[in-house]
Amino acid sequence: MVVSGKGKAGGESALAIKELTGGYSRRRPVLHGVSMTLNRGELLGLIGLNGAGKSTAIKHILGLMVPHSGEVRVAGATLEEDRELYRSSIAYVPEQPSLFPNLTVKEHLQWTAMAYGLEQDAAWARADKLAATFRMTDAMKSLPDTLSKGMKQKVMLMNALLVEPALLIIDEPFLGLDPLAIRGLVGALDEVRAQGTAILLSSHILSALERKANRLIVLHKGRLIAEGTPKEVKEQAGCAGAEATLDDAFEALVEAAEGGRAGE
Amino acid sequence: MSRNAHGEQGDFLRSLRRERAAGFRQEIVPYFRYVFQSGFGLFASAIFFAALIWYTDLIKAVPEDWPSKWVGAVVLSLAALRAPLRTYLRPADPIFLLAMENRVLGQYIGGALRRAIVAGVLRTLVVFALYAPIYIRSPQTAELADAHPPVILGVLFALLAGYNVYGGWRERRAAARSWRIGLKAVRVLLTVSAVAALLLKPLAAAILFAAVCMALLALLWRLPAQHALPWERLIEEEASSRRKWMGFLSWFVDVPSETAKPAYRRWIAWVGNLIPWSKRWAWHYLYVKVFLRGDTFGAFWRWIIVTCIVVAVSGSALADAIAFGVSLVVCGLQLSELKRVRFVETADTLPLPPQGKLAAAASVARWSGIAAVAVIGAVGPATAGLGAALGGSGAGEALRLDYWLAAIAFGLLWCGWWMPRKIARFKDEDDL
Repeated sequence: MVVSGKGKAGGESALAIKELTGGYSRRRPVLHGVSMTLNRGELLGLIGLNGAGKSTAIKHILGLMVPHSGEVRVAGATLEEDRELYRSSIAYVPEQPSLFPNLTVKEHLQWTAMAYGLEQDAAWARADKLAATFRMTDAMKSLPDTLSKGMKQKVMLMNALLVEPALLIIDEPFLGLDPLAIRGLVGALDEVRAQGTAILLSSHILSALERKANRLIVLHKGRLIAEGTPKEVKEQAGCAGAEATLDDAFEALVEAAEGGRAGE
Repeated sequence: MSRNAHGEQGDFLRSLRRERAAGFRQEIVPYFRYVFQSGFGLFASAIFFAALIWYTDLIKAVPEDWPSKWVGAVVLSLAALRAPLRTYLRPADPIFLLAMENRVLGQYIGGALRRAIVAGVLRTLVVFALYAPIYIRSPQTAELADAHPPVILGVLFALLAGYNVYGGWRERRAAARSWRIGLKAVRVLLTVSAVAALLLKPLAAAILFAAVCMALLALLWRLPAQHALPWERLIEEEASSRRKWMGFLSWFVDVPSETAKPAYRRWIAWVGNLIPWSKRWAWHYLYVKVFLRGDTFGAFWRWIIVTCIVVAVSGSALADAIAFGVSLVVCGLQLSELKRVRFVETADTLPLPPQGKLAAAASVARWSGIAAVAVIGAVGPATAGLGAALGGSGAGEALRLDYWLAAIAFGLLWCGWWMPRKIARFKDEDDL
């Protein structure tokens, strides 16, 4: 199995963000000096309220927005240094399925494979496996307008997982998926992670992140307010008890950040 | 609900439809200025006056071999069969108007249907008014015309046209696609038969035959499971009508893009699979698939077919060359749509150079244009003389290679070089 971008410039870190300040307006930035790293084979959970800056952070990582200051490195390179390496090292699944209406599921997979320069036979073998995992074999010749929202999301996931990138970014992956698809996705994520893909997963379903993430990052109003393993984050929130959940810790962290009663 | 409230809802629905229709007109009318500035007005006027001169000459002395029987049957059938229905319904309407579906059916759709019937009747009467002098004077039909008073025929064709528009509505109501297609096919068959009978057979028997045909249709309409109001079908059809208008206007000026519902078109979509599996060709693959399944290709291939038929039956080498040239100008304009293809946001995150997009669009336009030149350029010379055999006025001109070579050279220059070059250099501010 080949992981795109692996073994090229850079060390073990698939993603390195240093003092990133950015957003839509320089006068009112959304992100304020955010730093984070994500190593190969790691799953990093990105947590925050609506409007905390998660999507903006993801757009900066994808290179769809230009930082006001700071830098974003993927597989060791910034977008300006090596656009080809940067782009070919990332696969992205947005929260809302974003498909070409004129391409069938199979053609989406073919185009993605061509765009990432995958070898044809290997790509089809992997595509068939993913189609079986997500129970999409019968829908391979369908156009998106005949698919349900959940099926469209599966197509997005299949495209991203087909590539086996150095960095996989997934925004709210569980929305709209049926229980078997969630199970298939979790299995597929474990598999690509074992092969060295780093995963940045943004989700509001904290129980899933608590189980699967190696580390967590909590954003609030564009600032990083906690970072570490789920256990460390709970400790930082003052919720270290055995019965405390990540939801409790998150609530405490947000209240503390807003000057509330966190830690009481 | 009180009678008063029902009345208010009815007034609201009637005014809603009127406002939407007016809104649509206000949206498109300003663009016509650009259409006429582009020379289209001049072109259309030239076609109109040429057709007028040809028609005047024809009715002065209809040639003995002029096929007035089948021309009449075809043009009157086409006029009577058309059953468009502009409802101006929008995707959100089922959410907000579903609760008053019965009144939507009566006040809103009923109004739209009445207008469509009036338009259908007028259209058919205009076509009949143009055809009637030919029918009366043509040696092939003059005798028939004596036994078929034009006023009675006009009334009968008007009834047939109105009935067809209503038939179109009944077809839309059928829940299953197969029933809709089947009912339409039967309507086409029975209408063409009825029109031919009314023109060419003894009038009393023909009227009886037409009445039986229409009764049979009415019977068939009762068979399928049907919606009281086919919301999704009407909304889809309305969106398609808007797209067609915007698609036409976009040949001349930038208009807001409308997302088209793609067609599978398996008969042609496989062409994209011939593109080499390589990163270098990824944009090409995407453009080919987007083009072949989109609205633009739907208009493109139909236009080519129409041109092929025209050059095959025209019977005049000069007319063939002119039809070929005009057709390729339109094909080129259709292909220029490729420069405006909009992609989903995730396409920008893939490891493909963005500058490759327009190069791929230009390449797809070039090869599509060359294919159009090849198809029409092959049909034209291959069918030289066929027009005369079908009764054309060109007296069976021999193949004029000089005309065809000039026309093909023009086609290759326009579709194979000029238009792709403009697409490759396209900037948003360009008006092409």
